[in-house]
Amino acid sequence: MSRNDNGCKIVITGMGSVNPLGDLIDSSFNNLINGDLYPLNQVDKIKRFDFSSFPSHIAFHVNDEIISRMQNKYFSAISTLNDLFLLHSLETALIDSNLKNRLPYVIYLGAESGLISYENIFRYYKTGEVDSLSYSLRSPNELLKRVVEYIWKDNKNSFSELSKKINIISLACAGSTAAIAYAYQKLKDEIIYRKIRGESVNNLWAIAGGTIAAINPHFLTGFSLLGALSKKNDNPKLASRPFDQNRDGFVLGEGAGIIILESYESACNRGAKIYAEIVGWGAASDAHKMTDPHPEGKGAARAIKNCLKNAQVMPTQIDYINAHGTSTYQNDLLESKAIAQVFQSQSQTQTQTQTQTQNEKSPLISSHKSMIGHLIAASGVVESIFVIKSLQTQKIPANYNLNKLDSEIEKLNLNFVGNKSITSNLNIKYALKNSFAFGGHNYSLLFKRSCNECK
Amino acid sequence: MNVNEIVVSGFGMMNSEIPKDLTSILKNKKAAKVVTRTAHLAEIAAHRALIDAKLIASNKDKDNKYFYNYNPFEMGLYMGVGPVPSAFDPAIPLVTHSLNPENNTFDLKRFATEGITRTNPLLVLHYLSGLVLSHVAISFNIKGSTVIFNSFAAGAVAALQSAVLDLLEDNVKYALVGGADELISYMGTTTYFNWGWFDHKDFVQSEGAGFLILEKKENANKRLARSDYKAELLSINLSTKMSNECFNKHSNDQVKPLNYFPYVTGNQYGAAGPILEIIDLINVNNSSEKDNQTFCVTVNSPNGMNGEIILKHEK
Repeated sequence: MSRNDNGCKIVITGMGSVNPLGDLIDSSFNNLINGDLYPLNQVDKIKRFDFSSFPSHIAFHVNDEIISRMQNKYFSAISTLNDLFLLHSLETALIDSNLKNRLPYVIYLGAESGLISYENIFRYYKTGEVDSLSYSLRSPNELLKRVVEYIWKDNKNSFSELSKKINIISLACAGSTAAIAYAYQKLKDEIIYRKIRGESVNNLWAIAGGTIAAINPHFLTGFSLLGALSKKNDNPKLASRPFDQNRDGFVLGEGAGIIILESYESACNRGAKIYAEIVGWGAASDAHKMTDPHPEGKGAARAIKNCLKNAQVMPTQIDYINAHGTSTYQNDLLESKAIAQVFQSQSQTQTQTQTQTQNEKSPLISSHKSMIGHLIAASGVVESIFVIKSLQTQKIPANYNLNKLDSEIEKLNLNFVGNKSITSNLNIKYALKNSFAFGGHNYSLLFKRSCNECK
Repeated sequence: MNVNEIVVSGFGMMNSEIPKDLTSILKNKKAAKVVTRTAHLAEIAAHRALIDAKLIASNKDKDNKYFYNYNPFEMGLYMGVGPVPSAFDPAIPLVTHSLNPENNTFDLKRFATEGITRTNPLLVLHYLSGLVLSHVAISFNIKGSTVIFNSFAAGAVAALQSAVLDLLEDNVKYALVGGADELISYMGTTTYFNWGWFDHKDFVQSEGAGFLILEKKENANKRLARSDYKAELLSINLSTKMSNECFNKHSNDQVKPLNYFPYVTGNQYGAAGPILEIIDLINVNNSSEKDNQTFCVTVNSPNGMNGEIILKHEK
């Protein structure tokens, strides 16, 4: 069996998420498609603390009722929002896949360091109290370990082995996308190894995802310093507007997502429902500047190309691209350029004469961030979940707030979804998900529609 | 994981006699002020590994530039780091300007106005682990896959695993893989103090970085690096069940386990530990009279994230 053999197909058999659109996948996706007033109310001025004096003080919140419910359910063991979001997503995904209390082959999660309490740092400099400093920051692996411990609390033997298979990727905005990519790669490698040895691949599955609780002084300060946040404080609902001419930065969001990856054979043998197939991934580094992405999107374009090469899929086969689309001036422009480099160079080799024809043939593009904000380390997985739902339901969410396309982006003649979701006459087979991290780390994932063809 | 096509063709480290100010020995001096000490340590060790593997010239050419002997798109970068690149110093202006002079307390309003205005925007570079990776990638023009794991010593093991997967998939031709940790800091000290690690009489806090160059044996042969093999990677696993996956897969090899326990070996290199241990073992075997020694590095990391690596040394 070669490494590129299709005998090692990997599918998605479970999903869980909590995000500004809700805590259930189906209702969150419906809110995303419908642009309901209820979820739009979740973007507002930050009320948990008095952040009114920060240059940007708006954010997409997880609904307070949902947080209260989660606190009532998990509070005895888990105390931070990061923990709560992840725990809820993990439990939902495990129940969804019918794999609760069973041992995964690997767990990869994207996460960043927890809350830095500047007040505690301040106290340390004033008083020299070491204790106040040590509690000002939490290492991500520490908090995630507690969450997993809680989930498998009824199965301690499994936990002792499980805890050794967790790892945390801290790659900012691409964290959970990289986690999915490497969980997929690791699972694929093990399938090949077992098949070569004639061993069963049953019960071979992985957990991948990420979590973020970004509405706190740490993240707000960091991104304010970089000037990356939207300052449309007086009109929060219109602040996040990817690819729009009047965009001025992103709006922070919060939440978590988990997907269950499983060998196709294992999923079929246990009669699991299959949401979609993951067929490839690609990564590339800009190696350009610490603070700025490559202006022509060359690293991003290479990540997309590497992904298509890894999946052995041609650009013309891609039907939908879920953009990183942050609503910052730089990201949206470079991402558009990157997409144009990959997908239009392909078109140029064809004998297209009419721009309109070319445009119709190029993949549809949209970003979810006008409805959920930027979930940093969790953005990749939460948006991937919605991409998988798009493949399943054949519906693509709108680019809400995209009223006038950026003039430079417009010249690229790409096929952006408009202000209304597309809910009919679609035939999406392949969907690409992009995530581009601060510092120049670019990742793309490729999903394929599942026909539930287990035989 | 079947890794026996992969060899270690170079290594570099920065773990002893480390000066307080590393600027003079950095290659990328321009970025020195804005990145963390962890990034400095990583850059120096990575540079040494690339030179050792003959992938970068040890001296600058007549145009004052280093000669790179690799295609940047074919080089991947994989790292493990500690909990956070951890200097608090850059945050001092932020918090000191948050003082409310009337009652001498922390004032969030002043923090958000005076504090943020008077703080270097590049403070962010000190708090995101991914930027250590960016610094090394930019310093050596690495444009292939890049990933960083944040789980103490196990982070380096996960980085090794990911590097091997990418090499086997032909996503990259070379993998620069390592770990870096800056533990002598406010964050490091207070963390270990609270964990009670200073109660272990042998625990010594330290800092450092180590990098390996991995490539396929076939590629090393092609570029005539054969005589410079440091070791061949036999197996790597993110679990300390030594009798299980790694050992079963290599039951025919003569395995010589040498345990690595961070806080009983006398030095704590955190995420750099496993790589530095591998380099130490390669060096020990280099001076040994025996040929083809096989050895194992096991890693016990806080929070139960562990790993093991089996290598065969070739002379």
